[in-house]
Amino acid sequence: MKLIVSSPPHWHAKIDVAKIHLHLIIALIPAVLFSVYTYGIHSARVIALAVATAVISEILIRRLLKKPVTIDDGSAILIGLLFAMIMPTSTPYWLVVIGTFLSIFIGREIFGGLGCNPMNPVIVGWAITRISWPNYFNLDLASVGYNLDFNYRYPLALLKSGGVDQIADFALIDLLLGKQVGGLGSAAAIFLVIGGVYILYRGFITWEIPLSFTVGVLAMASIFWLTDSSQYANPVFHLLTGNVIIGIFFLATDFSSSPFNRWGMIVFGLGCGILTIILRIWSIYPDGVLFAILIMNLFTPLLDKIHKKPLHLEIKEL
Amino acid sequence: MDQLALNRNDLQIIEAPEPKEVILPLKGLEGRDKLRIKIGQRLITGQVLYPGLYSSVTGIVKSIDSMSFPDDDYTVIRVEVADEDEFDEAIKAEPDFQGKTPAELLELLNRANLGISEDLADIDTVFVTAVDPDPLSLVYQQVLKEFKAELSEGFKLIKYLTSAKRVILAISEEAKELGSAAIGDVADLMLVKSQYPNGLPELLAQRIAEQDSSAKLAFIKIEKLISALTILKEGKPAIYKLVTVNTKSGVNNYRVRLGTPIKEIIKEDELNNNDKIIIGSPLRGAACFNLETPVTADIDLIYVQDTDEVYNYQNLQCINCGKCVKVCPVNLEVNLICRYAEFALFERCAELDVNACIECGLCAYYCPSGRALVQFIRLAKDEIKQQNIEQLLVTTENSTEEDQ
Ligand code: SF4
Ligand code: SF4
Repeated sequence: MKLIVSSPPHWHAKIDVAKIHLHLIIALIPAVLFSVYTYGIHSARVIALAVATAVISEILIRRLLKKPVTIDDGSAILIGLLFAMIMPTSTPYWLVVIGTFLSIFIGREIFGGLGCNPMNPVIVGWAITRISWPNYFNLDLASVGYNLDFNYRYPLALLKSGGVDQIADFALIDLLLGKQVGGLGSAAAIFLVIGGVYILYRGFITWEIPLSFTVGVLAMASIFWLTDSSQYANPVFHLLTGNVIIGIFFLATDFSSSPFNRWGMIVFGLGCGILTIILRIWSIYPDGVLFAILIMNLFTPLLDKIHKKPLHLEIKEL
Repeated sequence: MDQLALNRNDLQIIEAPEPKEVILPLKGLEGRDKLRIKIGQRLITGQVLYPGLYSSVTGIVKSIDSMSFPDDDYTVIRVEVADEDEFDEAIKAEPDFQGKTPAELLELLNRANLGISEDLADIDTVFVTAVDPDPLSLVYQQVLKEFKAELSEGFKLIKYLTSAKRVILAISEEAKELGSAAIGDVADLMLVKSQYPNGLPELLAQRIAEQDSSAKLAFIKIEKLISALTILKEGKPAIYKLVTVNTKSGVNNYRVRLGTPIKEIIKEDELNNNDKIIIGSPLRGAACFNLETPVTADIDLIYVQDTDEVYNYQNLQCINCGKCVKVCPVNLEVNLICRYAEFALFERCAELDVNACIECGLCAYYCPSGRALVQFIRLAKDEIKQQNIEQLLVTTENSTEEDQ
């Protein structure tokens, strides 16, 4: 008789990394479909290319480094997908390939792979391309040539260049329904919210960062708006435009680059929200979400010091 | 279905058949020469074999060997059991326990194989655990159901033995009525949600301490308390243990003679190759590799896990999801501790208070990377202990050199 021996626990919740990533990917599907519906094959092209590049990059890099290839954990697919979501529809092929490769290579593999990246890999890839080839990120130009049934100007660029008067004709409900120009998937606000609520409800992410991020954006925007509403946009406008929604649910919550302790997470989310608004108002970039998350990523080790003291529960048995 | 829910029971106790042979375990191998018995000698039930080790049967010593069980090496005495018990006369009934001093009572109870801690000073609150601490275990609630009438006598015994002013009965929420009836005006009631890990004594103690931070706490399992009463009433040693046996063919609560080897309770034909026999909780218990392992007083549950249900740890890289930190009842930063342990940075583990871990197993239960977190923690604890010992050795060596 052969018996199996191993250390406890002998049960497991049967939720593994691949399953978590699978559900994060599922949660993005509504936004993907909406994007393909709006921009057609152009959007599908960027998404497919980014996902394929991510997977192939991981295989190549891991082969070169002689490490086990782990594409079946779904992380590469998720990175590719998220990278596509925040890029303009018009992004050229080569830029998608370079950006996704950088996400995988500089964003993740250099640091030791999944779980070791100090910054969100998707945003690392995005930031390098954004700074190196800024011309391709003009979202106003990105929408040229499409037959859109909504305002084809990028709301945040308008706000930056022309002030509050320029954005008066964006109805908030349209922004919510995704009738706005932005990253090819990140503009689909309501669809991202649906996906986000799904992963929250299923427990694949926790509420701390999404909630505090939202509060941070709304609170900071309110402060400006309440002081001078003729100069600053209203808080809900800020919440629904640019990459805020995708950031709240899918980017800031990246496990490895965000804190794992509750209060650390809350401060992290608040910081992301506050920095987003500060960057939108004072930086040269129309949108500040991704840089805000990147900056907060750097504080993660520090924020993880906010931790409840361990309890010492010694008890005498009679 | 929630796997971690604490189960409910409507079973009857089944008397397990008396074993033909028992195995009496003595921890460690050093005691072997000091045993007060020889091979071929006849033992009687309750006889002292070694300080703290008593015979649970009447019979003939067949052999004295050593054997390994999950926690340590043991000296084991194999006894062929006779048909009739002959009880050791040294143990006398003491139905009216107030007639003896607490110290005399304690001596009597321990002489009757109860194994109560000798250190009863400095206790002012005692709680009795009548809620099963682990999933699948059905013992505590069974004892509560069978012996509810005796409990108030038990509370008085505790108060007498320890001079505790307050006794608390911890029961599951569903057993509220049973509990209210049992406590009379001698004890207080504490309701526990039927969900692991709420029934663990450490966490019950924490709940009490939150309300009364100055309480000097101790606990006793309900079964042990009832055993104490039985000893005093009948003047016979404690020789049975109630055990939940959860096999593929069903779940039963057996009353088993102490020392009965597991193979007498779980027959080989009930087992398949590559099954896992778990002694104790599915979250905390040890996998058994030896079917001769005897039933002892601290075994509440024996659980046979089918090959298909055995979980294989993947030990992938930590993705830093924080689940382990969230579920840890003692607020440890488990992900960091285990990364440090993985790379042999044990001082860092000590700084993060790894020794506070109560080994509830929840972190590893939830870890999506399938990391064997409890194993890392045990490794860290062990290394820290050994390094401390080494430090002590170094300092003593130094001082002896200086003395010379
Ligand atoms: S086993 Fe894990 S969850 Fe339980 S106390 Fe220890 S570290 Fe915390
Ligand atoms: S649960 Fe596992 S993967 Fe998640 S942080 Fe803890 S050790 Fe890492």
